[in-house]
Amino acid sequence: MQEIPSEVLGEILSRLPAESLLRFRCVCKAWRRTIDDPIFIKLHVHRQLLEVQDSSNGVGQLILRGDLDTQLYSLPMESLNSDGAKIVKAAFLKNSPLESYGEAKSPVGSCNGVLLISQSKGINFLWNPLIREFHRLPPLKLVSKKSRGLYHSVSGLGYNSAADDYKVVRIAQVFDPRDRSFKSDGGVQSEVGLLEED
Amino acid sequence: MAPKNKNPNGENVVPEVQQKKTQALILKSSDGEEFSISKSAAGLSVAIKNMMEDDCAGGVIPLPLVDGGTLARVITYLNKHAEDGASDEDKRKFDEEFLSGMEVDVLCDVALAGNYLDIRGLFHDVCQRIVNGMKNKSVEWVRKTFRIESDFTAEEEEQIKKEYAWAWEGVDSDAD
Repeated sequence: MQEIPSEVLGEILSRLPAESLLRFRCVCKAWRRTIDDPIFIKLHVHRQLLEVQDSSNGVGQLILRGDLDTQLYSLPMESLNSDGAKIVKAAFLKNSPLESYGEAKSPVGSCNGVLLISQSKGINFLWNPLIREFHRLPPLKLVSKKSRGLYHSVSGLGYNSAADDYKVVRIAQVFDPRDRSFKSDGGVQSEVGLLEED
Repeated sequence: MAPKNKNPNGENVVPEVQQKKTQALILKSSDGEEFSISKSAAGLSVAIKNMMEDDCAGGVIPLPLVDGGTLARVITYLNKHAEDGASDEDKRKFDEEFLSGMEVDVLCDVALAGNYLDIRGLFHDVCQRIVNGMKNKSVEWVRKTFRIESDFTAEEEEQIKKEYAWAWEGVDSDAD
């Protein structure tokens, strides 16, 4: 067998699931360099997304919340197409931020396989279930002591391809103690996520 | 016979389209083996097609990066895919059988040839097959199969393993 040139190696590695890649970082230094390279990571995400779009591959996943609010499961989209009564087992997603922080409102958004999770006390996380890593987002700056911590907020997640980063947008309605009401002029706070995709 | 199929001397000629199809090229492997292939089959390789258009294909095309065994496999693939009347279903079945008999090192050689000759369909299928064969394998299996020497110290290896220890769960045993 001839030695595999790097561009062919990249083509092969970019088709592997994230779990295999995390293991194969250990093969040798050249493989680890390739797998950790941001350009390779982007190629990998791109390829995985293409497979999701090709429904016959059934790589798309539905994220479900379990009976206990701290448990999340995934179910292949493809399994929903099966005819008749077929029992499909959803896979438990390990090491979600909810295991350590508890009580999900629910996953509130997803983008390129990264999930935005809102915990009931208002803490938001970016979570990549494929590499089982999460990043805790800083608290809302809009919520001051004055408002006694009372606010409503909604969040969303998006990908900014120009800056090649993920953006979390949170819109908050903050309690105003002077007239004892919620004000909607709190404005929009946006943050740049730091979680890398793999 | 219609007049257009005769040359000015009144001899029968093969229509140009058909002529193009049946005309043959010679591909020469790195180890000097020569293979005859129709231009239509060879044209499925973007690299060979470009060489034909640039008129470098004056009969024999040397392919110094592809050995004879690999080239024979690639030509079998190209012939099937250039075959008149082969349906997509036929081709899919052929591809499945064609690739299923190959060991990983053969697949890698075919992938390299597919990449070099720019035969996208073959390249993608072969890569996917290599991936299916290796995704649940151990690090040791990968090193052995791809003939890679680890350049990590035992401590470094332990450290990398620790970072994502869960990725080592559910790995196939190395016995084939």
